[in-house]
Amino acid sequence: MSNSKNITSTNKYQSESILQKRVRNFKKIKRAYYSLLAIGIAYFLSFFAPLLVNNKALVVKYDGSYYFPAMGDLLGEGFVSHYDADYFGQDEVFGEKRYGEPHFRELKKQYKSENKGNWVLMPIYSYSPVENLLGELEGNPPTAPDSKHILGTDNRGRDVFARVIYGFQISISFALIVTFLSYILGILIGGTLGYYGNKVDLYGLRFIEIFSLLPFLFIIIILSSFIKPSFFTLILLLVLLRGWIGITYYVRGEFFREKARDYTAAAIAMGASTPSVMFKHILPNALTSVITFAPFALISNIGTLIALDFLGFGLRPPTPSWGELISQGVAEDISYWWLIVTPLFMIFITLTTITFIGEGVRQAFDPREYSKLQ
Amino acid sequence: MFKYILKRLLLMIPTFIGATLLVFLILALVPGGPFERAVFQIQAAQMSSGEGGGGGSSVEGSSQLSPEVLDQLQRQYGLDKPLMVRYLIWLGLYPRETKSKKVAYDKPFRENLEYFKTGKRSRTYELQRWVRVRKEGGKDIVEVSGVGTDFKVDKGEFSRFPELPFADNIPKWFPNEEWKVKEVVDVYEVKDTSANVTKSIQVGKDFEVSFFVKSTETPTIQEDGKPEGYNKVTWVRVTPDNGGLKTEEGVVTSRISRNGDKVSTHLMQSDGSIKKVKYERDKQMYDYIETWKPASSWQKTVTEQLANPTQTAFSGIFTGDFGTSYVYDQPVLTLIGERLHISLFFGLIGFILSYMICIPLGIFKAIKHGSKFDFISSAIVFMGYATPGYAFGALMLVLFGGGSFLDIFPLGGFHSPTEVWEQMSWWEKVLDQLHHTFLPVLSYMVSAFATLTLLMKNSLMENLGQDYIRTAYAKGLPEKKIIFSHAVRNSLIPIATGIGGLIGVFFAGSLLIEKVFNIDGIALLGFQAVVSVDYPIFLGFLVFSIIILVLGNLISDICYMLIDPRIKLD
Repeated sequence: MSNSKNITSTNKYQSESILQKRVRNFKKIKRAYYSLLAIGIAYFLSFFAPLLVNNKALVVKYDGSYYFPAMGDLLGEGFVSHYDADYFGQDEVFGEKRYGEPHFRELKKQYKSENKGNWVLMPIYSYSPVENLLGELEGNPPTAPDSKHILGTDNRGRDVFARVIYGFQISISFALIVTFLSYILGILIGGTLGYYGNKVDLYGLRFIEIFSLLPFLFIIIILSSFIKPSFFTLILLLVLLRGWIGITYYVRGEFFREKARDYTAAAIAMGASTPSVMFKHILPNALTSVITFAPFALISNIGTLIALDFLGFGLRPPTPSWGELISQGVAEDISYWWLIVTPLFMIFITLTTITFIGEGVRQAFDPREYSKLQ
Repeated sequence: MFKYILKRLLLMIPTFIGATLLVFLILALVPGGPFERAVFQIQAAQMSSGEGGGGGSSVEGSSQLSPEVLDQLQRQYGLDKPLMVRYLIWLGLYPRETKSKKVAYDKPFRENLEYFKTGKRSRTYELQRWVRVRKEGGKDIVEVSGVGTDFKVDKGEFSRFPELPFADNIPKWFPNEEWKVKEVVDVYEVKDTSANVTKSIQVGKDFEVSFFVKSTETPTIQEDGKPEGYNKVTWVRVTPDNGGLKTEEGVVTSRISRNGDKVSTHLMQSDGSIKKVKYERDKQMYDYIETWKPASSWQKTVTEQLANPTQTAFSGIFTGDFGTSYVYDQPVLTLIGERLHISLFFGLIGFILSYMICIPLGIFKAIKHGSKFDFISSAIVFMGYATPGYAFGALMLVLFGGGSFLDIFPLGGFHSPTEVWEQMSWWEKVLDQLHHTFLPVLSYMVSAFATLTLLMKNSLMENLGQDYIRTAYAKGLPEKKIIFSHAVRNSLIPIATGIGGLIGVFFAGSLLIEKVFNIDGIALLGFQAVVSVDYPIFLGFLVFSIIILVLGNLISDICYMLIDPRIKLD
């Protein structure tokens, strides 16, 4: 095993595989390649958002011991023990007795003025997306951007910047899972239709046609009024009601074509089982063209989530969401421009980047040189 | 061609039925439908008016809607029939009860035939006739009188009708076939000799069970040392039994408590212990009774017989009857008709403009492939693709709608408010309409723009590399002719297939834009209907959107044929 690995890596005369060629092609398209890098890094960093944008302290030094409250958000509640405000010697915040979670920004000021060797290290941006700031805001929310809240606050007094940052991770994760599951379902159904053909295909197609006629946004709204969907039920609803349909059509077409090829006949003649023919032999060949529109599927899924949130039937509040901010911006007074401009900017940057990636992937997979006579 | 279109139109029918049936099923199976909503509203009204005697706890009594009211509501929402029958009625393939009445024999009632307005103050009059049910030789016969108006009309076309006299003065009755006696209902008086409670129960064909309260006590029961407001209710259950009625009694002692959002029912078991169960809105208190004891102290006497003359008609989607909105109390077709032109207006303009801009742009980009113009315009087009149309619309409102920045465009609406609109001259109306149209149409176009332009470009590029183009160049045709009359025509084929899909997008899929700009279109109507569980409107909207989508597909295929004579679909 190690021997063969050695050969491939040292033999420079071996021709590169199709995949390697495509990756090389993709890297040549700078706009797409850098977009992929940018969004990849941003998505990776977004998992560390609790350490970057949070109202909990990174480190608290109190009475000679060190505490790491923000790590609890990153790793999960169980990993870091939880302490109430009075444990850290914080009795009053804004003239009121503080119960439960300490107010770390005030604690920092408190320790500074006490000067007893205690200190608090806050994250770079010290507000949380779900923290209600009504108590400390000057004026009624939504407040315009200022030095404290660089992108202002929303109508419940929550920091807009923190919300759009967390919204990024939620949107991307959501769309990635929806896309992935849609692909699995679409491949299963489309593969079956394309492989078996005839009656299976005929009836299957009628069924899909019926399904594609349903106004799925409305159906989701009707269903979600009594399911009250969580993150994963909403994903399932999207996958089952709409996600798989487009992919099914494509995979079906590919399977039709590939099934007529000689290698499929050879595999069947050699006695390969049906699942083996379908998924081991045909699928890898059918998949390439379907993969190219994964980025566009991702875009449409992000769009759907934003639309649902915008209509008020998306993820449960107080989940940070771009669509919800836009709906606030439109519903309230149109003069709260930051409620619309901020999420729209995030949507725009994210989706444009993914579009560039998608266009790059398409070109890399299908490097047709357009010739034109002059 | 004709044969092909006919075949496609016929194929639409099963698809249409499949899709509507699926939605019908979903609506029927999802709880919280219009029936539940109505029950809840009645309960809420009872609660706030203090009816149903709650006492300490505000929810008490809310689950005590009488079976008669529930039954009536079920009839009103058509829930007394099986799902498939309801679906067929909705389609218009099964007779719908258009008029139904319960009357005693030989007791005439007025049937309204038509409404009309006349006179100086345009009062509303009704055209009526008398209807009565008579028993003749063991058979029920429905008879009607002649037609007259409810009040004397002096002028106009309706003055030829006399005022309808009192029923006693009707000289001649005519047998009538439109009315049919569906069933005969026996009215029982159920009387408890010991407690002096009387209840009247109507027993018809479908009668299964009836419940009513005999007595209510409020005993003092200690739970956790605190006296609690329990109700001890004796219920009476009446069921049919060998042509007569059977009466049974059961007792339930309960209390309903509310703790924040959590409502729970406390039940006292027969051994005196308390059982706490989750409160269910559609579960009645008598459902908790474990044992029913036969009660013979009830006298059951038939006091009267009611006939149930009913008119039925095939009336549904196929006959153009879309039902009546629960919320607006108007025919669905009228509501949709009032808004259809608004959606069509924006959709059509957006649709035409997109094609008018994207096709030339795509051609130009293909010819200039690789140039700076191509690169920059591609980047812009991609950005457009990445911006959801409604979000773009919201941004435009912020920038130009007069909130914080420029005040150039109105905040939304189809045109200025009616009072202002009426005052405008024709030219002002045109300007006002354009003023209101610009931003929404721009938003409509943003997303479709990228797909169309790139499709056109790529398709043309592909054709330009083909051999026939090489041949055309070789034989010396001018470049303009090669591109426009050879290459472009062939590259329009994929664009044509997109037309159908786009029709759907523009006419049925514009909910978000309509919402942002507050345009009273059909998609917004559909959305509001879903939110307020006004299902007739939603189903009407569904019918329209399905028809538009399906026709869109057909139009695509026809365009396909027209552009490419090589394609023969039949």
